[in-house]
Amino acid sequence: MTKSIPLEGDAMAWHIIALQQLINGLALGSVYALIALGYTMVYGIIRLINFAHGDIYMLGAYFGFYAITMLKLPLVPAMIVSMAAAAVVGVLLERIAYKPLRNSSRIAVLITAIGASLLLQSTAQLVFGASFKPFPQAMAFRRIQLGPVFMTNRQLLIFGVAVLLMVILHVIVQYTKLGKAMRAVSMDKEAALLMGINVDRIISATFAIGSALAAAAGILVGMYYNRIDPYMGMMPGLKAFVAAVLGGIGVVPGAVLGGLLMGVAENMVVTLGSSTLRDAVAFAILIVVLLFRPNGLLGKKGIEKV
Amino acid sequence: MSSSKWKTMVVCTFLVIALAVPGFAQGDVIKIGLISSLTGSVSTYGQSVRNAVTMAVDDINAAGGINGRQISLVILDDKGDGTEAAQAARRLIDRENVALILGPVITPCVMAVAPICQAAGIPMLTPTGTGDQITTVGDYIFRGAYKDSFQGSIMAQFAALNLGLKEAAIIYDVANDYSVGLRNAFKATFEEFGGKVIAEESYSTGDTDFSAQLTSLAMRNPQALFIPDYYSTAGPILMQARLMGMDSVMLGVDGWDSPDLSALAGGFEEGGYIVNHYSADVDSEVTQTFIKRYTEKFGQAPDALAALGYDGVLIMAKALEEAGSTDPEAIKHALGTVQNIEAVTGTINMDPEGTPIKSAVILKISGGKWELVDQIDPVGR
Repeated sequence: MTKSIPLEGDAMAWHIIALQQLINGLALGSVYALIALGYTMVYGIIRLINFAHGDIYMLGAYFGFYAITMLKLPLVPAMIVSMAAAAVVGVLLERIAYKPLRNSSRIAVLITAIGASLLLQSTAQLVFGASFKPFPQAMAFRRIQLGPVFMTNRQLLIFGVAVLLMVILHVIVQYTKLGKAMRAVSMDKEAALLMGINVDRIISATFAIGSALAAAAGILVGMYYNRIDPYMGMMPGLKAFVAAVLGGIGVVPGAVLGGLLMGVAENMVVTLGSSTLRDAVAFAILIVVLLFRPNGLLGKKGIEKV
Repeated sequence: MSSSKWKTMVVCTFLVIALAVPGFAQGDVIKIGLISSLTGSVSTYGQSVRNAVTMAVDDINAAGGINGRQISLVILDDKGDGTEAAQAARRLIDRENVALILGPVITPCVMAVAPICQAAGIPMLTPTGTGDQITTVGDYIFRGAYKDSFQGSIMAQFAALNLGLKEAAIIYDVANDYSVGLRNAFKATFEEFGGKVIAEESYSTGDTDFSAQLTSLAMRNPQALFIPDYYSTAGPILMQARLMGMDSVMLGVDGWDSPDLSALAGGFEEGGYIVNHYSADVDSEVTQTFIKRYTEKFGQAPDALAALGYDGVLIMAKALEEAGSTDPEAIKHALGTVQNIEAVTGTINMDPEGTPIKSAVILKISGGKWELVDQIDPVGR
C-alpha cells in the first residue's frame, strides 16, 4: 500500500486537499452528468421529467452485475450489453407508460413517471433481492500519482468513459440525421411531423440513448463504490435532476456543466465545512442559481433544445 | 346484500374473533414473534439470527418444549427499516397475540419497536441490539448483547493500551444512533487513555461516496481509523480508504461481522481489528458444539449474530421456564433475573436493567479469517 501524502504545513495541505477534492468531485460529477443527460434529452423532446430515470441507472448497474458474473463478460462488453438492455427497458417504459398519455395533462404524465419509478424499484427488489450486492471488481486497483495529488484508476475510468460517451452524444445530436430529427422534434413536434419525421421513432431513440447513458453510469458507480442495491437510483437520480435544472433543462451542454458543478460543490463542502451539510448545500446552490437565472446556467428562452 | 355475501361476512367475523381472542386458537403452545432483518442493507445479520433462532427453537421443541408446552415461532422481516419493524411489532401483538417478541436485530429497528412493546406490556428481547438507549425505554425491554458504550470503550482501550496508538481518526454515520453512540464511547475512552482523536468526518445512512471525507482524513495521516458501522457501509469505506492510500490501522465493531464484508471491502479489510461478542476460537463445549451443529445445518460457519440469536432463545427459554406461565408480568420479572446460563457467547447473567453481564473479544482479520486476539471482561465498566 502506498503511503499517504505527507502533511507539509497547513496552507500547503489545504491547497492540495482542494485540488484532490476537485478530482474526486469531477469523478462524481461525471456520473451526475451522464444521468442528467437522460433527463435533459427527454425533457427537451416531450417536456417530461422522467422520474424513473434514476431507476434505469440502477437497472444498468444490475444488468452489468449479471453480465459480468453470469455471462462472464469482461468489463467493456458487459457495459455494452447493459447499455443495450437498459435502452430496451427505456423504450418499453416510454411505449407502455408514457405514450398513451402523450396528449393528457402534464401532471398526469408526471405522476405516471413517479409510479413507474416505484414499480421499477419494487420489481428490482423482487427479482434481484433487497440485499446490498458487492460489485464484481473486473479491474485491478491502481493509483495514478499526479504530482501532489492522485487519481484512482476507477476515477479515471469514470471520467474517461463519461467524456467519451458525451463526445459520441454530441456527434449524434449535431452531425447525424437522427440528431437533426431530434432537434427538429424538440423545436416543434407538429412541424417536424409535417416534414415527414417519424416522431414516435425519434422519441424512442431519445429514451434509448438516455437510458444507455444512465446504464453506463450505473456500472461505473458499481465499480467505484463496490455496492449496488435496488434503491441506489433514488438520490443520484434526484441530484442528476437538480444538475439538469441547474445547467438549464433541455440543454445538452447544460446537463454536463450542472453535473460537474454539483459533484465538485459537494466535495468542496466536505473540505471547507461539515460533511453533514453536503446534500443540503447541493440543493441550496440550485435555489440560488434559479433565483438569478430561472432558466438555469446555460438556458436561454427560445434556445435550440434537444 | 346477497346471501353469499352474508355467509362470507359471518365466516369472516368468526375468524376475526378466533384470531383476536388470546388462547382461542393457540392450544398448548407458546407463541413467540421474531422480527429480523431478512432483506435490506443488513440482510446477513437477519438471516444469521433467523437460522440460529429456528435451530434453537427446534431443539427446545424436540426436547419436549418449555414446561411441557411447544414453542410456535412467527417470523417477520423488517428489511432493516424502523417503520417496517414497528408494523411487524403491531401485527405480532394485535393479530398474533405473541407472548414475547424476539428482535429486532439492529438498534434503529429496536428503537422503533421497544416503545410499542412497552406500551402494550409485551416483553421484548433483542438478541443483538447494542444501542445504550434500548433498555432505558422501559422495564419490558431486554437484550442479549453488550452495550455500545461498553464495546466502543473496549476498542478504544485496546487501541490505546495494546496497540499503543496515540492518534486516531473517526468516520461515522451521523444519522444512525448505533454509529453515533460508538463514536462517542470510543472518543471518550481513547482520550481518557491519553490518545487523541485528530480528525472526524461523518456521512448519512445510504451514502455511497466517501471519497471527500476520506480525502480530508487521509491528509491528516492518522495512525488509526475507527469505522463504527454495519458491514454494508464499512466495507466500501475500507476499500475507498485504502485506495486513497490510507495506511492506518483499521478499527471496527461487531457490525463488521458478516460473510459479505470481504466482498464489499474488496479484500481490504485484511489486518483490521474488531470488537465482537464471541470468537469461534473460544474453547468452550457449548460454543464448539454450536459451531459444529450450525455449520452442518446451514453450510456456513456461524457469525456473532447467529451466536447471539441462539443465546437469545436460551435466555428466553430459561425465563419462560422460571415464569411458569405466559403472563407478561411473570416473564418480565424472570427475564431480569435469570442467572448462569451456559451460552455460546459466554455465561450469561442478566442485570435488572435488561442487559447481560458478559465479556467481549477483540478479533483480527488475518488471512481472511477472524483470529482471537484478546478477551476483555466487563469488570469495573
